[in-house]
Amino acid sequence: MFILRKLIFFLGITCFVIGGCKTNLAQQDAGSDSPTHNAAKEVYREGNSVRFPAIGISVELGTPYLWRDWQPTVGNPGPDGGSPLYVSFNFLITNSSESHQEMAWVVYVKDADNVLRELRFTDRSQMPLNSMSIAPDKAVTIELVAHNGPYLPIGNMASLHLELSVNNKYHVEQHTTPVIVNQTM
Amino acid sequence: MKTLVLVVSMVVCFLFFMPLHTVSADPYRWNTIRIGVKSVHDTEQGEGVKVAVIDEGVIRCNHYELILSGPCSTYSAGNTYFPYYSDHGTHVATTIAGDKWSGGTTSSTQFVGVAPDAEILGYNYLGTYSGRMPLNAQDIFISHAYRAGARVVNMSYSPTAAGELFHSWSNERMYLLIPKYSNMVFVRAAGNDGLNLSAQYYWSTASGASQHPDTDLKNLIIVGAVDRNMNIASWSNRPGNDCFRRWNGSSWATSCKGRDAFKHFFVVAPGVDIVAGCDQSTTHYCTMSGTSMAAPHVTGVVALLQGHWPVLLSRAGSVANIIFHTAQDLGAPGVDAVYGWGLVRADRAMSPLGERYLNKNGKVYALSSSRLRVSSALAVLSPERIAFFDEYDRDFQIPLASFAPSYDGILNRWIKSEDTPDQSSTNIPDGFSYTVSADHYDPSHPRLSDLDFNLSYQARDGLGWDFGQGKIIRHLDTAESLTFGLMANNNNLSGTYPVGSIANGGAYGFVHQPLGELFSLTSGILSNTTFTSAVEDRNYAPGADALVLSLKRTSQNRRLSGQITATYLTEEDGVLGTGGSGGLHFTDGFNSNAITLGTRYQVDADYSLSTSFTKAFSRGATVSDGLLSLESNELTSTAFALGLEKQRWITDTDQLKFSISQPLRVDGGHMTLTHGDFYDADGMLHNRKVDIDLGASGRQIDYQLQYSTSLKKNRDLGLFAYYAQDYLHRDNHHDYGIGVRLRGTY
Repeated sequence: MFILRKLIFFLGITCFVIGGCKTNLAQQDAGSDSPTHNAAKEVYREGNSVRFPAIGISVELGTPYLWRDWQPTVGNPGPDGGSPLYVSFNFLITNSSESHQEMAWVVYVKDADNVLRELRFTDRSQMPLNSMSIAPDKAVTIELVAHNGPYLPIGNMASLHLELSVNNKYHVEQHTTPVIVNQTM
Repeated sequence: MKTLVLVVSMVVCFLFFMPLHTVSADPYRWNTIRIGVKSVHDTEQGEGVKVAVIDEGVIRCNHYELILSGPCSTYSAGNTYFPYYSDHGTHVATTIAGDKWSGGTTSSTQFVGVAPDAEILGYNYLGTYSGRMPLNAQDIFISHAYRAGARVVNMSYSPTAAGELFHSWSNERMYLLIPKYSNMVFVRAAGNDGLNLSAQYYWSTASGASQHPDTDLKNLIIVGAVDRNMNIASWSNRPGNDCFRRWNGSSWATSCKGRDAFKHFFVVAPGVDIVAGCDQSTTHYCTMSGTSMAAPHVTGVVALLQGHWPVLLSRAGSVANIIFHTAQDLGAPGVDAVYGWGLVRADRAMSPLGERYLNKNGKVYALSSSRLRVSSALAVLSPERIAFFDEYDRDFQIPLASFAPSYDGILNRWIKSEDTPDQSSTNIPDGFSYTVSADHYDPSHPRLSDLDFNLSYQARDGLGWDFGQGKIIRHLDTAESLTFGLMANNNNLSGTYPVGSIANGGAYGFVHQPLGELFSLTSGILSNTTFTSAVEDRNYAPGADALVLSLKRTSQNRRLSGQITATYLTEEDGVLGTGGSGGLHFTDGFNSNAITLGTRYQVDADYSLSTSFTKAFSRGATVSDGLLSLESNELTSTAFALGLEKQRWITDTDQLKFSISQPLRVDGGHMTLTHGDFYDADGMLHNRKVDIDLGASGRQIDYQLQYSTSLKKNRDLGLFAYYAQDYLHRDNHHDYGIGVRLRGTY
């Protein structure tokens, strides 16, 4: 009987560990570029879209716009006289479930040397915007603007690296294709 | 087959998208095309207008785009921070006032500035690299520009804080300067932070400031940027829903009042990938993006407005209103939080806006109530132009020819005409009959005057009478060959009753009385006092009444007839069909007496000739309180017509009509045209006076030909052609047209 209990406990631990590893593997897979999903079918990702079928959430990422401003006069100018990197970024969140879903994000800009820098996003009225509750059966376009990027040279390429989570339970990483750093005057 | 479909599809797609393709593919002028500048340049390029440009560094005034345009200078007032040529300032200045150089390069030949003849007054205010002038330097620059005569200033710069239009109120000089220089238009770039503008706390130390931003800042225009597809640039600041917050006596308002919201000061202009002159050499061009590039488009349009209408130099608020109210609405309908009023449009800004009026010596006549109409008898007036004004006292020229009889569309009317008009005719026993016609009746705009009717009686002894409303010509005893084509319309001043026809179109009554076997007498009255007085109704004719008495004799064999017709015409307002009211009133009770001699000869059963000659004498009292005044109180005029009608000419069913005629023409006399011409920069009205010799330079002769024949299967073929020599009695001024009509009944 004791041996049987130890055997059941051992099998349980083994299953727990294997299950946990599978979940981690699935999340890492979601960060790759090829269409994939985790073994538990909790996260799908293809191109610029991410879906959480279990909770009815899908996210469509827009193409970010990166720029630095030289209009006289800019705040916090860099050595070249231009502003820090500004980022404008949209994405569409669709909640097809019958309950509210809490979507949160952390966004980094990744330069050509793969250096990551976290961006502080606000809406266009400068209200910090890092999460949003999406009503049932609703689609919401999130417009984000950040002004605290690095002083990347004009013409360089950079991409955004996103960490998305739903209800603080489902997590996925996604990144955009690199875009050029523009200049405004 | 597939290839054919593909080719056809490509052609269709190319044709369909060609205009868009043309705009988007032109990197040098898509921006000016989008805002409608090119069509304006034919009449206005901003000559004599001074434009202040406060910017960073020194504008390269020796850039070829600027040196060949209006004058250009840069004033630094001791700015040692950035004493160098500036690409930013040069780009802004050339966008406003470049365009005079075509040095052989693609850039120089293709580039188009908004107001090429404007003078640039550059002010070196900022230096991005190493500091900037104190805030109150703007006072010095704007004061200098104002004294130099500039009434518009371009400010393609913004505070350092993201999303702010101006600095915090305690540091901001603009709240002093904008109300203080209320005759100056301030054009401000919205900023490139990609944000909604954040609330500004407004308090002005300017003398007389009301502390109400919507009135104190009425001369401020904020400019955002759009791309070539007219979408807001992602980096452009937007007006959002916030505003200039008022001080309510104890605290700042927490909500927006009236039209204080930024969106009511906001327009957009092209600001993405704008090509203009740059600083590295006198022939250097570069591409830039930003609201700094959008603002000079608006500044240039302001210069065009000020150049064309000097009165606007002292009415900056009006200029801003014109820019706002003529903008092309983008985004959500109406003034919205992203595009404000919409895209600035030079072509629309240069067009009349609001209530329109005529002016003479300060006396105002609403254009809409001036039923101006120039008759062909006095068509010599038609080359003259008069000025009308819009709500902002801007003058626009309008040719009197616009109101002269027009042959335009006559072919179209003939092609659509029915042989059997939309009418019902009923015969009643004992010689009575009535006809109702709805030819001109529009059910969507029902008017009694458009419903023609006629009640007639014909006794066995020859006595008859007609009573009704509408065109009377076809009911009169007249030669058919003189009343077709042009003359069958309202221009029939060369037919059998050229003077009586002026009163044609309203109520009428006629009596036909045989006098023995060979004579008959026709007497009648016409009155065109119709119920039509719609605004600017081209068909409206001023009130006129006519008495007609016609004696006719027919030969024994009935082949020859002659008639003498006396006509008495009294016109309520006008002479010989030249009429109007309000600003164009020029006579006070004008009477005309006319004698018309007519003959008709029936050569054979199918062939007849008709002639008509009219001499009219007009006299009346003249008044001079209108724009037009007649200096000659007696006029003589003549008209004639010669017609031929032939049936069964080539086939058994064809018919030929031909006529040569001269519409009523005044032999001589004088008129004076006096009207307000324009307001100068001080708001003073300048008048224009023109003496007009009514002795026409030419004599209009109309040649008309109409042929019709029946074909098989209920089809008929028609041909109509006309040629008007010395059209409108103007020498070497011709009009002509030809039409072919094939109709069938199924």
